[in-house]
Amino acid sequence: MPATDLLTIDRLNVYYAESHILRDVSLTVPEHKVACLMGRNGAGKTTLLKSVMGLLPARSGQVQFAGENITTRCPDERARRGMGYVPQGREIFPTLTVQENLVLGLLAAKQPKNGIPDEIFHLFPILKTMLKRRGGDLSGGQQQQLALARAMLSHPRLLLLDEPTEGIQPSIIDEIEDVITRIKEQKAVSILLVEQYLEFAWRLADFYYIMEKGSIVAHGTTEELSEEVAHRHLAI
Amino acid sequence: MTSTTFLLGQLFNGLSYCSILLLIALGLAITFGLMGVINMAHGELMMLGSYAAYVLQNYFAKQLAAQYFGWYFVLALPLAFVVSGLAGLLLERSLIRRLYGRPLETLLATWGVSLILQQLMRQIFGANNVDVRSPGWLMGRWHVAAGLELPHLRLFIIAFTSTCLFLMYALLFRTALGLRIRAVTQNRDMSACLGVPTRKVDAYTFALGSGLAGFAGCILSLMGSVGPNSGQNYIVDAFMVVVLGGVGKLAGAIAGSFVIGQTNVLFESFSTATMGKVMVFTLVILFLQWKPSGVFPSKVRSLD
Amino acid sequence: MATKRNNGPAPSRRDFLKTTAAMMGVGAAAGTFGGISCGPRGSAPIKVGIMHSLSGTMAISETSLRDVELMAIEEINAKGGVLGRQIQPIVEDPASDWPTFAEKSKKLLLRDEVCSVFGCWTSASRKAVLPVFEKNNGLLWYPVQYEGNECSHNVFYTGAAPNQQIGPAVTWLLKNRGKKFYLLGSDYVFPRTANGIIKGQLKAEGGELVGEEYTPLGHMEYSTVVNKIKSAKPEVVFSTINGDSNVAFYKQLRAAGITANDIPVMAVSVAEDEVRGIGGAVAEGHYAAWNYFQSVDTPENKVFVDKFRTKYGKDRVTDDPIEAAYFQVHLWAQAVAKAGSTEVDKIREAALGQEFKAPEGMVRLDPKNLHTWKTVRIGKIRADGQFDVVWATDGPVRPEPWDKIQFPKRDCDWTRGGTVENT
Repeated sequence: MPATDLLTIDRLNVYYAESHILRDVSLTVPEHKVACLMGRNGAGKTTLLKSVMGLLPARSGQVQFAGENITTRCPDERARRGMGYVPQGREIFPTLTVQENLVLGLLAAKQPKNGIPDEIFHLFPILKTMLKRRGGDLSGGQQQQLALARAMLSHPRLLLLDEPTEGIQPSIIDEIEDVITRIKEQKAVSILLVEQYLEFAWRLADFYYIMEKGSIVAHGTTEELSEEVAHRHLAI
Repeated sequence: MTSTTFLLGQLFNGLSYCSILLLIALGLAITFGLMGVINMAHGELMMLGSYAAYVLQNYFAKQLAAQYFGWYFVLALPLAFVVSGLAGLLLERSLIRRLYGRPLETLLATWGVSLILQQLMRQIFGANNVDVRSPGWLMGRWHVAAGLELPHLRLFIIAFTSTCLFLMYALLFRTALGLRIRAVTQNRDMSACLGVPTRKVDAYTFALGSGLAGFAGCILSLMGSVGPNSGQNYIVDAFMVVVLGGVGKLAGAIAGSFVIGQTNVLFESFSTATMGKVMVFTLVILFLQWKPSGVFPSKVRSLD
Repeated sequence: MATKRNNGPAPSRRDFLKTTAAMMGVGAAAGTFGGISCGPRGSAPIKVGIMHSLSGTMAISETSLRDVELMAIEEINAKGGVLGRQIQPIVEDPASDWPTFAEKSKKLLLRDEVCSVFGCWTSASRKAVLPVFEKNNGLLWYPVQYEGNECSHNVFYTGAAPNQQIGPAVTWLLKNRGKKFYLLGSDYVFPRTANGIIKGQLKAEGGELVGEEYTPLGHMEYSTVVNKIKSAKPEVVFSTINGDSNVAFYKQLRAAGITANDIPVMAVSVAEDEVRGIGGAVAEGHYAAWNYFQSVDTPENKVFVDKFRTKYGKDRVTDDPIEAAYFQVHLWAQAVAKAGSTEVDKIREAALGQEFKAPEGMVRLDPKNLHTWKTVRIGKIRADGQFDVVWATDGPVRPEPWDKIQFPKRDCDWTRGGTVENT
């Protein structure tokens, strides 16, 4: 594959206090590709995403982004270098309006003057009708779309998505899948996706990584991912 | 004077007291209300503002011709804002930022800072109260009716507080910095993930709240004492207003100061100053029993 | 004066270091423990205690008293001391905390065996140490005006009793400024007791009470009070407000357009130090009643003021409690000299009737009640913050510890065993 690697994680070790959460994790996400991180609950997927974003410090190892070592950078510096993050709890600002939540995304891209571009409402038409509502008043699915839209508005080079389908009704899952597919097709953004929903991951991802107890135990292209491997590591 | 003019006078006094309380509480509504920092040195930041007015007054009296003296106060206000704001910035950068999320440590540390600032002022200016004079244009009165005269000083404070409030709203709700401040105070991590330089925003926010304390100190130097201890006279009122109004909302500080100011003056009109204060305290306690999060609770729907 | 004055002369750098050392417990107590007794033993120094708050809220007021007492001791030592012995002050800092006052008294009396203590400011601190001095037969010299109604065999009161400050001020106002009085005070024991006396006096001397109001200590919002005063239309306001509130009251009264020409305020807790914080321009024309003002024109005062300001700084002012703290040390020294002994009972005996040419004029310790005969003065505030003395008694006035209106028959007379009821 000719594509260069946008994100390279090299033997990363992360601790919560004294408990060792991530053990020698190595992973790469090439430009304009989708990598899916899978694993059972508690395997360390969310921790890995937080470490990539800079919310948790690395005790050893390296995170490289667009050729730069960013291991010790703060989250806001990483965001300004082109990381967009949709966390597990969505983390919408509850008392800010939908519009203000979106403008925060724009501010990250340093383009607040142009206003919110219309394309975003093509992707998420529901948001257009809710601009004046408070973020905290939206339903779970709407919040998920808002979080995704907010991350997109920051024009990221890498999108970190933490279980975008978790706890969301099926009709909205389809919408979210559509959006991610369209993002992928535009070939401007790389995605590191944490997903438990196997079908979803299979359809979207170019590469897969499977985690178990804080380590990567299997990886490869999605086409190579066999039922057998998936079953061994992911079945409950 | 008839009892009607007495009552009209009291109505005005109530409004005046509300505006003073609001001015005292506005800075705290930012640092404590929005940021959650229990800053026991808030009164001392006000005191710095008062001393800024004192120093500038002396400069004007010594260096400039007498006809310019009246203007010192116009410059004293921004100077007080800058002095207290910078002190706040220093305090945040050196101490408070290491203590976010640890209210007890913050309380103790800032209490220590308040003692240090008091002693510092004692060393520089002496333990005495110092004399800050009102400029001539604030000494007059607006004659409304026989027996009803409204002091320019109090009218000025009402106007100044309203302006501060308007500017605060504009800043918080109409500017990018304001949006970032509100975002950081709600969710620091997520703000950072959206590229908001949270440490800078914290520092600016704290400096802003401290600067507002400087404004309050500067204005109150015309109404009360200016000395190393004078910050202590206002700290309880400031916290009471913010807590009664509801932590985390500017509207809370407005409501809190309005309720406390008007009821205090009302009670005092018909009883004594001490009884008025006792009744207000009782009322506040009862109200907080009934609604522990104040007039405007920050109701945040828990995110699923 | 029964509570703090929230201002006072600036402590010098040396004070600060000393205070800091005291707070750190490094040892503010000068001198050694044990060893030298207070009794007559050749040329060993005579030990006295100085017990004023050098830290905490009262430090502002009390530090000056420590300063001036040390100055007086220096003067006496420079002239060879008393009984041929030097005086050794032992300075304690009770840190504005009343129980600590009691503790420090015990230490001074029992461990250091001092034969007198110069100390206290607030009535609360005096009440806290009183049992200690009475139980151990110590001597306390107390230099601050107070609310009266006390008669102890172990305290020399060198500040004014109510009849030496409040009573004459009321009489003077009734004669010169008007009959209608508005009484305004801070809300604690001294103003309430004082106003009780004033009300009795108004009744007796034909005055009229048009209003009475108490504000909490530290009160800063006087708009309502000012409005009430405007409504009540008094001819004078008699103020027993204490502390920082004074600044707020005078400033807000002035902002409301009421000058000393409209309604003059007579205060008994506003001295030179307080006027500095209020501002002469705002306070000009109002009155205060004291026994001493810095502007009092006596040769002794000229020397006293010069000496104090040379020693502690040109920006310092002297005032009534500072002056009383000064002369009480000299009265004590005279008593020791006369007694020829440092035994407490002999000092007390010798002190009764002692006279001294103080800065305020002649003062004399009453032979019966241990209070001090003092001249009463009324001062009018000038724009520069000093007072013009507008009236004074011809000579020292006899102190009356018990309020004659509440206790018409009661008297303090130690020749008859203390508090007695006359028939």
